[in-house]
Parts: sequence; structure tokens; C-alpha cells
Amino acid sequence: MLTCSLTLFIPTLTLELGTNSMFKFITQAIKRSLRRSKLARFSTGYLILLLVIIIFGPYLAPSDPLALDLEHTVQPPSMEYPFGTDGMGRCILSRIIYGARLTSLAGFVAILVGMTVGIPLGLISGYCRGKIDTVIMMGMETLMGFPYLLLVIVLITMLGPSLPNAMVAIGIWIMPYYTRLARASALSIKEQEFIEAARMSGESNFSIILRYIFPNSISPIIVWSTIYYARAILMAAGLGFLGLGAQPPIPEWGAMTAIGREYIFVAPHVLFFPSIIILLTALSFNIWGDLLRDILDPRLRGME
Amino acid sequence: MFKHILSRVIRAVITLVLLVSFIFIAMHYAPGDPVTTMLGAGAGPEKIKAMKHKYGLDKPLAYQYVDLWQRMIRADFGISWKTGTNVSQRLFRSIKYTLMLASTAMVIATAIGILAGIVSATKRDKLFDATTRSITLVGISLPTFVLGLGLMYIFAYVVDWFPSSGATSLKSLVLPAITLSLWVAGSLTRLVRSAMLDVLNEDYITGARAKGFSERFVVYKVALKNAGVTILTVLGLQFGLLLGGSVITEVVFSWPGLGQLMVEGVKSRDTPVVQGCVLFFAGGFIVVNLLVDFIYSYIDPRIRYQ
Repeated sequence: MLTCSLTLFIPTLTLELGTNSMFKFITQAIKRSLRRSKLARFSTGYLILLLVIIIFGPYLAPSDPLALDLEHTVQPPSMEYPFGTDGMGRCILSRIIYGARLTSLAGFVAILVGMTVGIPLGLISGYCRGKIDTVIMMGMETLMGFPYLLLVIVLITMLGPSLPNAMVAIGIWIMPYYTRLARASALSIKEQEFIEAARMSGESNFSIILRYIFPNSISPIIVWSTIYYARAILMAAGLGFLGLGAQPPIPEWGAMTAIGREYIFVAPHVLFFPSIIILLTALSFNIWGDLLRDILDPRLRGME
Repeated sequence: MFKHILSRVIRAVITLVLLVSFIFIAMHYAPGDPVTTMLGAGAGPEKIKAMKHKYGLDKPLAYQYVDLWQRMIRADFGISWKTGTNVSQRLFRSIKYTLMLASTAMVIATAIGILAGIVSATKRDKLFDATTRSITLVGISLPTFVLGLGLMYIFAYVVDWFPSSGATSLKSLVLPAITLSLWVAGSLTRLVRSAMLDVLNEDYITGARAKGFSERFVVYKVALKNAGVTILTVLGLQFGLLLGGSVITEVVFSWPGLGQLMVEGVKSRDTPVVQGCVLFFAGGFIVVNLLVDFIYSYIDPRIRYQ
């Protein structure tokens, strides 16, 4: 329900205010929330730190994430290994730092796959209506009819368990949400007068979609992408934990917790550090998602 | 009423048919021949041909598709490619455990979610609401496996109250059920809260208050009844989340249910096993949402007379 009102609201807002003022409106609202809420400041700080780690990872990591040190296996945190070592004597801190890159990449690729397939389908569906719309949306609803995680598992079975395949599978899982989003935008934009004007000046349907509908539907897509990104990251970690995503020596956070599970009673730090990082990352993204939703959902705003 | 139910049943059946077809196509157009992958690169063409013949993979696709439906109607999910055992038997052995886990967790999650959601909505922006909101935010950010492993460390190691894995006694159900229910309760509380807030803003609530009804009557009789349809829909959808979460929970606690069977099936690329498990999960999800549909056409006369 929230989704529905939000997807309809942003395009109308964009049309009323224009894309530039729409972003100005959002940035101002974000600044206000940052001043008011401690949680928002915390999550922003954490996400900036994470970005720094992703960019400068290789310079920050104290050692090689794959280097084995068989004389120092399952060591508790020390000067040499700040987060301790795992069962193969690998430095957990370095693995988490490199893992940040992998995890963010996984989320990014998944979102990109979802967008490139989902958005054109949604725009076509909303603009053309009729039979094409029915067929596309029926396909999307079938995909959404799978319970959480199950669709991704079917796709992984098809492709085989590995990190790149997991990224593609997560992308396909997210795709229908983009289709729905783009369709809702297209539906409201196509009723505008400038579309009629374009049609009268003889532009083809293809060029109308590409030149008018698509640019006007971008803002809700960007906003929702922050939320989908968080979901994609969590899903990638979950698959890594199940052994259906990144495979063991790869320092992906989910796969690291799977290793940690074996040492849970012997050396809990092997499990603790990757778990806490996953939790903090997901928490920060969710706080941001909440923030954006509060700003953009007109009904919740009206109640303040 | 009858027409409404019939149209819902037909839609559920269509969804199921589409799902089965999708899984069938996905499994058959998988890149890389599954039989070759399983037998290894060293297997000769004779051996591959024999294996394909054994599982009926050399027949035309249309034949295989019809065959799949015929077998499904008889609840026959074929033979496992990996172990050669009967898949249906394993499915029925595992589903007991998944049902036990999922239903316990759903009951706990519903109780917590609805209660906390209502109280949180009525005491909007008070201490209880603020606390609940922070807890649920952490709750939805905690991946199931992190939550499960955390609980396992505390309750199976620090204080040794419950077994850490397996399904030997009723005690071993406690940790998996709590893990799964807390995860779902988090998002359920948030959704119930926003559904209740929506209703509490309606004019008829102000009307009821103006008539002098007690606050308790307004919240629990008027508002809750009106939020009921939304809450029920949300419950149905959350059940899908719970099924997916149960896969991860089962792996964390080595609970011998469908989820664990499925994950092992995926790892060994044992298509019939995965197919069977996914169909059970998806079928369960569809049936539960169909039930939800029935229930709300019963509680909401507007839907019944449409």
C-alpha cells in the first residue's frame, strides 16, 4: 500500500516541480532529518565509512585476505590481526575489508540487471497497455508469486552456485519490482499534455518512451534503488551463508559467517565480526530507506 | 459470494500452473547439461545416454511436460538424480518438520506483531512506540542467519538451555521457532502499525470518539475491524517471507525440514529434489493466500457482495 502511494506520488511531484526542484526538495528534507535524528546521523556516518573502505580497501587492509597462516589459526584479536584469524589463519579484518567491495559490487550488479530488464518492460507495459501489458504483468506476477528466496534458489539451481550467478539471480528477483515501478510512472506520465503534443508532432512510440517517458520516471527509480540495494546485499549474504553464492575462500561476508558457524562454540570472534558488519550495513540502509519513505510518502507527511 | 470464491480459486490455479511451467522451463534450459555435470567429465556418451533414458530426459520436451503434470497429480516427484531414492518419500518426511517450525513461528509472530503493532499505533510517538520502532528496525535488519547464530551462541552455549541443532525433542524446536518468528514479527509489527495508523486517521474514528465511545471500544472494535482486511493481507504475504526464512533457519539449526533438503539439492544440482521442494513451498504460499482471501470475504461484507 505504501509502495503504491509512493510510486504514484513521485512522478506527479516531479511533473509539478520539475526534476531539479524535486531533488532540491528531497535534499532539504534529508538535511532536516539529519539535524533532528541521531539514528540518521549514525547511519550516514557508517555508510560514508563503508564507502571509504570500499574505495581504499587494498590500502587499508593489514594483510592479504586469502593468505593462509597455518601457525596462527583461530587466533583471538591481537595487534597483528585486529579481528583475529579464522580456521585457516586468514586475517578476518582484511577479509571484511575486501568483502565490502564484493558485497557492494554484488548489490550493484544485481540492481543493474534488474533495471536494464525491468524498466524497459515496465515502460512498454504502462505506455502501450492492452495485451502487451497483460502478458508482461502476468509474467512479473508469476515471478513475484514465489515466496521470498525461493525464486533465487530456482535460478541458482539453473545456473549453478557461484557469486556472479548469485548476482544475476538476485537481479532477476528484483526485476519485477522495477517493472511495477516503471509501469506506474509511465501510466501517470502518458496522460500529460506534452506526450500528446509529441504524438501529434509525429514522434514514434519508441522515441516517446525513450525521450519523454523514461527521463520523467527516473526519480522514483533512484529513490527505490536505495531500498532494493539493501535487499540485494542481504540476499547475497544469505546466499553466501547457505553456500549458494560466493564459494569458500572468497571473502564475502555471508560466506564468512558460514565459516564462523563451524567455530561458534570454539572461537566466536570468527562469527562475530562478519555478522556485526552485515547487521550494521543492513541497519544503516534501512534507516535511510525509512527516512526517504517518510519524506516521500505524502500521507505520512501530512500527519506530522 | 460463491462467484467471488470461484474466481479466487481459478486465479490461484492459474498462478500454480504458471509457477510449475516456469520451474520446468528454468530447469530444462539451464546452461550446461545437468547429467554431464553430475556424471563428471570422464563419463562416456553411452553412460550419459543410459542415464538420460533412465530419468526420461531423452523424450521430447512436450512429453516431459505432460508427464510432469501426470506425476504431480499422483504426488510423484520422481527419483533423486543423486541418490536414486524416491523424492516424494523424502519430501513427505521433511515437510512434517517444516510445517511444525513454520506454524509455531507464524503463531508467535502473529501474536507479537499484532499486539505490538496496535499498541504502538495507539501510543504513537510515546516511549513504547519509540522503543518498538527501534527494536523492529533492528529486527528487520538482522538477517535470519545472524539472529539464529546469535541466539544459538547465547542459549546453547553461554547458558546451556536448549540444544544447538537437530530435531531430537520438543526442546530443539524452541530456538529455530524463536529465530524465525522474531524475524517475521519485526516487519509484521511495522505493517500492522501503519495499517492501524491509516485507519485511526479516518473520519469515522473521530465520529466514534465524538459519540463518546470509550477509547478501548474505538481502538479494538471500530479501528481493528477496519484495519482487519489489511492486516490479514499482510499476514498472508508475510507467510511467504516466513517460508523463505525457514530455509535459512533450517540450515542454521540443522533442522531436517524441506529447506535443508532443498539447499542440499541445489548444491548437488539434484533437479527433482529442488523441483519438489519449491513446488511444496510455492503451493503452500498460494494455498495460504487463498485462505486469506476466503477469510476476508467472510469478515468484510463489501467484498462478499461485489
